[in-house]
Amino acid sequence: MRLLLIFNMSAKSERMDVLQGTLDLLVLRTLAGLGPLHGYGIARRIEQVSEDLLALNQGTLYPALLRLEQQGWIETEWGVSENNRRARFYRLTAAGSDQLETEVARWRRMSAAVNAIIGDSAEWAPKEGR
Amino acid sequence: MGLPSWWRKAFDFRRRRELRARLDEELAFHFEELVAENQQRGMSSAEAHRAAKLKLGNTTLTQESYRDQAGWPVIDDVMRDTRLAARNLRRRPGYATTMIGLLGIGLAAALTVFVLTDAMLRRHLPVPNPAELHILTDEESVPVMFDRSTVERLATNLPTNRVMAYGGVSRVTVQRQNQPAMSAQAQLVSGGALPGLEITPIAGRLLSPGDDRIGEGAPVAVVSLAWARREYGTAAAAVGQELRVNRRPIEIVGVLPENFGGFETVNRIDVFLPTALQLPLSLFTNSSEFASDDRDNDPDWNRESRIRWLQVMVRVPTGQPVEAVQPALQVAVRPYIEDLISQLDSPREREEMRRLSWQVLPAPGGFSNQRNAFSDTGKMLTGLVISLLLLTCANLSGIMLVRTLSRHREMGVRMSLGAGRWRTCRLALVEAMVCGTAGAVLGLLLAGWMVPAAAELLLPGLELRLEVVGWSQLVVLVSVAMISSLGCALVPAWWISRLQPLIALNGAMGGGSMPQRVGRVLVSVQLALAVMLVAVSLSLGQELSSVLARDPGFARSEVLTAKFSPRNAGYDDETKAPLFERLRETMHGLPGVQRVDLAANGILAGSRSSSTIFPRDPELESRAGAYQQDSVGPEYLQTVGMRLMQGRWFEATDGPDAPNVVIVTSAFARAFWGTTDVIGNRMGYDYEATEEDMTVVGVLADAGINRARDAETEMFFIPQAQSGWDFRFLAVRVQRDPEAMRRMIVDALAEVEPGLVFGSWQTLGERREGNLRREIASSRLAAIIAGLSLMLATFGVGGALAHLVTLRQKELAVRAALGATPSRLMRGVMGDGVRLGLWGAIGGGGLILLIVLGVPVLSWWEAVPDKFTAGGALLAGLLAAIAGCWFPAKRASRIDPQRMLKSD
Repeated sequence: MRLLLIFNMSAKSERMDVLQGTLDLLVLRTLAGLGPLHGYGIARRIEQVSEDLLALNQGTLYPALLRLEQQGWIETEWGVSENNRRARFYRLTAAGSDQLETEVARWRRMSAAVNAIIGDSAEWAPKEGR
Repeated sequence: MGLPSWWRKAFDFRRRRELRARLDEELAFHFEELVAENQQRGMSSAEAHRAAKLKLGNTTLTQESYRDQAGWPVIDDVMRDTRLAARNLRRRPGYATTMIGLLGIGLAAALTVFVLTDAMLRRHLPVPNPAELHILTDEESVPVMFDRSTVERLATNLPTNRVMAYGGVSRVTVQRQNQPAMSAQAQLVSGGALPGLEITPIAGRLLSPGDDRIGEGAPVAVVSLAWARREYGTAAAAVGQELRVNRRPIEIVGVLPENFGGFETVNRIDVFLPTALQLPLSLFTNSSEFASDDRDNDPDWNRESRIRWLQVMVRVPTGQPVEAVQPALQVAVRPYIEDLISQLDSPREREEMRRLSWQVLPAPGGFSNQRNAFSDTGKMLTGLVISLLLLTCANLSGIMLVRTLSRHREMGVRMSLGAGRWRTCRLALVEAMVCGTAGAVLGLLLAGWMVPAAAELLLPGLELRLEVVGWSQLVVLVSVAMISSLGCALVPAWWISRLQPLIALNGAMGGGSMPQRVGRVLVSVQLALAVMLVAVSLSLGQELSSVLARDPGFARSEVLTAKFSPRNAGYDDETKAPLFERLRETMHGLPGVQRVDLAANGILAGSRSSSTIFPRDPELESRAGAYQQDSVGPEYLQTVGMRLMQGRWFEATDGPDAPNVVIVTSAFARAFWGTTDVIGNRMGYDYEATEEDMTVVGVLADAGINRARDAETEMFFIPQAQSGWDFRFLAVRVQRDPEAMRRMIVDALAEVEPGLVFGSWQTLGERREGNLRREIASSRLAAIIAGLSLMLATFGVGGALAHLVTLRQKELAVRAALGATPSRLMRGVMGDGVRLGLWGAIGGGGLILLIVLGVPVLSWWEAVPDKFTAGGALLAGLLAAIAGCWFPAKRASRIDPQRMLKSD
């Protein structure tokens, strides 16, 4: 089971690292929403949408993009960026759309299960100062 | 449906360099975008670059992670190790040559044995579904022969085209229009035989049941593709051509598919003919008969139920039990068995006959006596090759260990820098695999030369389809190469796995004394085995040369001989006598021909006949029995150079109307009368004395007529004029070089008798060597194996002592520093080598003694070494040990104490 979301919340910052399991979901969703994008654009978009809460490690983004390409979920080609620079653009494939649906459904089941365990916040309040 | 992910990964592995360049470009783009974004936020250029670098993080890690994703990291690592191993081997050419050379020789031997055993033992007939083919055998798994009517009953009781019957293989005389006659391998087959094999002719058609009706066999034949190509160029050109087979016109109606050579995989048949042509073509092949009455057999074997001459193959479709054939078989043979039983008087014999049973055995490759005979040889060769490879691996392992020991500091450094144990062990394994791969290539090249040579040596005269390069051969070669090379690397890898980095860096190699002791014992055993094999090889050679040098009792070099078959060439009783006379006249007319005459069986010609002979002295009645005989022309015995001890030769007057005479060999005289003083004695074919009895007129010196090994033969000769037998053996005594005369004689005979095929033109000396072919091949094989064993033992001694020198280099350096001269150091190591050699010689001597005492140490070779061959073998073992320790001793003498002590 690869679908795992691990948060590493730093004491100094509110930003969280996104690890691999969720990264596929985020990248596929981003490409589904915005169409073809280069690596920088994908990273930037995820950070913007999460209002800079999710910090995308560049060291994992590009190997993840290659992995998604090898899985046949995204396609890639050279293009020109809005700044008129040569860039590699990634686009969702039909298989990628199917995979996105699977990943979203799985995430929803997982988050619902986690929420169910956490339960109503009124029943249990974390101690102040922790 | 897209490509599977493993395929894309494999594709990415191939373009991994391109992908790395792509990542570099993407990272550069990413960095520039971050810088631009930072500058838009108001940072200075330097701040923007710094912030972008921080945000982008460690790009080296990204590149490594990307590289792992783009390829297979394990393969990358192995390729890197492979390059390193190749570089290391290039730096040590002597070590690399030894490793690759020995592995190459071992692998070539393994591949050669595989190719030979595959061709002889494992190959199936090239027909559809060969696993469905079965042969009918007796209880001892020997194919049974049946008469034609039994075969037909069996065919009637089984579905169409399931029963295939065929006669023995025989040579026929074949003549194309206006061409000289030649000899060909022919086989009579039932009409359903070839269709039953489910083969498709490459041109024309197969023989059919319609061609094979008794008494009206169609004069047709199908031929093999190889024969059609040789005679007519193409398969299509052969169809419709007319041949004369044993002087009968025969039309070729079809050409068989490529590689199909008959009902077994060893012999290649040129021409297949319907069984109904047995009598018209006078083909009287192997048969067995049972008759207790005096009725003459019908010469047409197709009509004679007493003559069994057809072997039977049955196709049992997949999924159908073999037992299903038995009821039909029992029904088919019952009339035959009942007939036999009715002719037997003894109740015990009748009961035995009733209990006869037959087996239906799988025969996907048909049945071949030669293949069965090779079975033991194949096992012996396989055992030898496995032993050879094990010895090779043991020796190479020792050499690799020495090499690894000398790299102990490098290993220590690697481990100290964080390389894991597996990673370090892998270096030795990969290096061995590189040697194994190179050895496999070398082995393949050597096998290309060794396979035909080994086939000629071990299987002379067989036209085998030998495939050196094929999928199964490559799989075997690569598998054996990898197993052998990994086997070589096991001990060095084990040593590395126990290496402590700090101790290694300190210069210590570890190991302990046990491996050395085990290694020395192994080397001594190798030497002992090599000494024994050398002794066996020498004694075989000695025995062979003494047999070849022995006087055979006839002239060796100046008598040219040939075999021929007047019956196959269509001569009958009336035309044979003039033919023999023409042959004599033709030969006498040639310059350089001293004498010429003929015999029925000849000398070392593979045929013999015998009859029961009775003495005419009642006291010698117990000496009666079957003795070998030959029917010869009046000058034959002089022509072949036999020596007359007493009496006279045959004369022209010993004709059909003259009293019957006989000339006997001394061995016959001794066996029959107990003396050689037998001139005038009488003997006969009948129990009672008759007018047909023969009088001894001459006694010959002993001669090896049947086998070159024999010093004597108990046999007698009768004049052909009194026996009337066919001549089938021509002997010509020449005054000049037989090699030069051979062509002239062959041409002269072809001109006078174009329809008569003379085969196997050889001098009697060549016949002796041909007769000893198996012994010569065996002796050569023993010599090769003994040579290889000695070579391996030499390398074994070298490896063991090199190991010792490497372990003791500090001690040797200290001794050198304390004043020991290089020659003294060298003598020390040589002394070790000589001690090993002595232990090996003692062990070898013990093994030789066991052989002399009759203990079956080697069951394949029957050779008993004498004191000279044993002494020679012991000396060879000792010399091998000295040769093996020469290089380690030289190395010990060159140790530089200053450099060695400074390095610590």
